[in-house]
Amino acid sequence: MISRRTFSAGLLACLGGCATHHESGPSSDLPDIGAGYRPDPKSDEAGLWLKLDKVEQNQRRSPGRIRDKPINDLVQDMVCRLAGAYCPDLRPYVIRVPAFNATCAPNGMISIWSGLLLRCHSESQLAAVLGHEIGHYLKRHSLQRLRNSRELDDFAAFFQFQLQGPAAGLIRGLSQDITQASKSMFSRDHEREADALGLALMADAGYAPAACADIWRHIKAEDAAGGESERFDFFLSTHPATTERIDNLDELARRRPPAARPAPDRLNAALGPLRRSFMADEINQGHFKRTDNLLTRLIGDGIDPGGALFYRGELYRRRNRDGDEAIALGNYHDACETADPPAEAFRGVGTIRWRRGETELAREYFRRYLRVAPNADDGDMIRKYLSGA
Amino acid sequence: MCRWCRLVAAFLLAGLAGCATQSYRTIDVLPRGAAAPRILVMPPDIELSELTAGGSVEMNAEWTRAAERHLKTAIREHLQRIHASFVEYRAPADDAPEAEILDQLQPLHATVGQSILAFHFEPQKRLPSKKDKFDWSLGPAVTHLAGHADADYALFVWVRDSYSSPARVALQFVAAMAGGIPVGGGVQTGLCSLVDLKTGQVVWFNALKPREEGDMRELEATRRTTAFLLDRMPK
Repeated sequence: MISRRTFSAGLLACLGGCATHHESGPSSDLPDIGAGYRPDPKSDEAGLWLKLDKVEQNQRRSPGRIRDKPINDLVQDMVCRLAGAYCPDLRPYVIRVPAFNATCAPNGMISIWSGLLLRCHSESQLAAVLGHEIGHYLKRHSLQRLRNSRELDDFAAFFQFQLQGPAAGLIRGLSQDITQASKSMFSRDHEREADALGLALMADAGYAPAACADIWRHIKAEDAAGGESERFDFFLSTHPATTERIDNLDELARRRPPAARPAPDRLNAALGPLRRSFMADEINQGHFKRTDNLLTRLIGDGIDPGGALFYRGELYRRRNRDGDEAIALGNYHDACETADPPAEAFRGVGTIRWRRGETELAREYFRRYLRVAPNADDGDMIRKYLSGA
Repeated sequence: MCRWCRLVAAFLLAGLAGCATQSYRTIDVLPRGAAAPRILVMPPDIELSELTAGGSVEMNAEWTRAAERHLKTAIREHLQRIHASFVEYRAPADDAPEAEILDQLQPLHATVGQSILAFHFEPQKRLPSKKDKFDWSLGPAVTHLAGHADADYALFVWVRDSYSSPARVALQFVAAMAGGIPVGGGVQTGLCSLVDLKTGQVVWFNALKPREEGDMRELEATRRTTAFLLDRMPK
């Protein structure tokens, strides 16, 4: 069989009207996506969508998907408030990944990571992130980036053939750097656009626009606590510097008229016990300082203080450096005195007191543990402590 | 003279056909009891893409959809021709308990298949634990498929095929003009396995050698690729 992929045959096909090619278009100044939009099956956009459809198929059935009804109902309702007529085109999924992120794929699949939900203090903060992601979808940023990358890489491929002589290697390296920097700048422009559009969408939907900058302040504080100061790189950073984003979002929020009514805040009710399972995942991350910063902030802001105090205690107990046990004990004690203490906080106090030989105090807390969790897995063992063994 | 021509041509063709694939089997004929063993045909995992001048691979939706249909048809025709007893996989509902396992088996097969390709066919790359034996398995999770379709074996097919974009073709032309610098075009790769649904063992494996040939966008060419892939499959 004669290869139809040899360049001569391909060239003929190309001269014959590029029949073997999907349809593409400009990489910028695209019209916004329309409600109910589906790409032309012949287009590069359709290929991009199909690729993401396959990812979504897996995500839909993934064991990592969080299926609890209240939080799924809430994010679906929020997406509809934010996206209006585009609501049927967007499909949010809550995914168990203990890191700060959300994505909106070009085909309308929105992924909300559990680490993001843990870091949202209010529904408005979650709306800030969802608005930003929906902004990417409306502006078709993924398609623009695909085309932009293709244009730059194709150009570079041709350009490199022209290079001859001793400086060729240097120029080739330089051209790669320029290509990389162009892609990153293009991406940062999209992020700025999505920030502005996201803020407009969430404020129009009745959310508090100040929340947009707030969530980035949280992240900045965590980064600083973790010893990761701003690592902005002109060539590599796909997102603008966090400081710049905070300033811009603050400025945009100031320009909004004051809200007519208070923003809805159903997040904590919808998360319910899930937030504690996210905290459990968070302390397994091995980012002690970041996690400590996050939990301390949740305690300070009164976001499930019982859970946050208990897991901060767990964080210190597990690190187990000099003095950590005392801090853990203090956090367990504080957790026990909140309105909604985790049962394990009583056990935490009990075991540390027991080890210290404070038997009576330990027994008091073991009793409280069993009162709250009479069917605990380790109930029999705890009763042994009480029976004086 | 023409007799010799034909003989030489036949040898050449046989050689070419032999070169097109690399295969391995642990059994020649599927063991059978009262009835012929039933083969569950998994939906072919196939993607067709464009290879850009810059070297990226971009999936093409129209071609991929067409190729899925063609490959399904070609596999069915091939199995009918060799009188194999087979049943086609039907995807379970999203909320069915086995849905997630079945989803993961397709990419698992792709990964195991790539490993067989990487580590079995070149003796110096053989893994120490598999020096003398062909011992590859999709693991016990595969047994879920047996219950799913009352079958004894599952046939997995995985194909990735790319085609040069016009810019890639132009680049190849420029490169040739600039002194014969080789710039590759789109490539067809594929592999398939027959898996014992009681044990998960791969009992037969076949892979296309990467080739700049075959056009899965057309049914006729897809039939030829399928014949290469399913050639000498035990039944």
